[in-house]
Amino acid sequence: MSAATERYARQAALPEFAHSHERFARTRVGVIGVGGLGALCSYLLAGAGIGELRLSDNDEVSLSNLHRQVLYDLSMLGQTKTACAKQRIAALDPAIQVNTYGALTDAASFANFAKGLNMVLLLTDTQSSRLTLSDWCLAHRLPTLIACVSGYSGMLALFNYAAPQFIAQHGCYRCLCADNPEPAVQGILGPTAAQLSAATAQLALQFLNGTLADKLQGCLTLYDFSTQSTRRFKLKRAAGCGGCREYAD
Amino acid sequence: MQIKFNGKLQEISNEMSLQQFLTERGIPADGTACAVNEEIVAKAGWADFMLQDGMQVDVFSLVAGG
Repeated sequence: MSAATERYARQAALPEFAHSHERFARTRVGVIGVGGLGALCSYLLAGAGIGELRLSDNDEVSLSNLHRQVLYDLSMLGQTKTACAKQRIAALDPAIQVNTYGALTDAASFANFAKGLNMVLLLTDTQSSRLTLSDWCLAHRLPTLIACVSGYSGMLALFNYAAPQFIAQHGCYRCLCADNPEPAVQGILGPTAAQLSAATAQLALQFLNGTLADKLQGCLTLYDFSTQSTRRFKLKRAAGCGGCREYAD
Repeated sequence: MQIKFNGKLQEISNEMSLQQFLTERGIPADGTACAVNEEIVAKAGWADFMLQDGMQVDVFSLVAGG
């Protein structure tokens, strides 16, 4: 048995994922924000065999991160999160290519980051940054998974900007969040962030594997981790949305 | 007519828009998203969206943080 066959044996035992590691080895995913959501999510994607991960963040590991950002430890304080995540992923599987980037502050730096990606995960910690980055993902027609978490609540949605019919029907992240103030920062438990990280990674893998359930297409899932409950709503393009108007037809 | 609001049936006597319905219940527009019959209604459309008997209205707070 080859090392790859052995490594992914349990994953491949799922009929839908029987040959997934061969597909995933050729897959490139960008993760923007490697904090409470993005760190663990990146690690789970690497575990599944995603061949190339591009990690963007300019933050450094601090003591107040450690209760929820479980990829990092005391030895990493003061180091950039992207470098630490790369180190952890290399220890998990050195075959995974990890490229690190600082903050993507303009369209040119985003274009460099995004070239050739199959998917972007927007996991930054502010609504304003996600709005800008979502606009850029839309301009590059990249499938974009957006997740956010605060308090006991989480939101998760896949915006398949690669599909024109998706944009016409379901719109963009700006359709959902534009004209709203930045939500207040709340406290959070480590398991809350971990659960949404895992849900995000699962959704990404199912999409990249081509086995995403129909009922999750064009949907926003809300999580209430205090009651372990979920609600799901169909996204709908906002008439007159300036973000996606030119891409919807 | 009856509206199912966040899972609970409520009786409303007059025709009203989604915006009026939310305002009467003290729901702030800022930071809030809304779905009718499990489909998101953009905030810009709340004032023109007229509720009908049996509709299901769900509101939730937008989340940031990552």
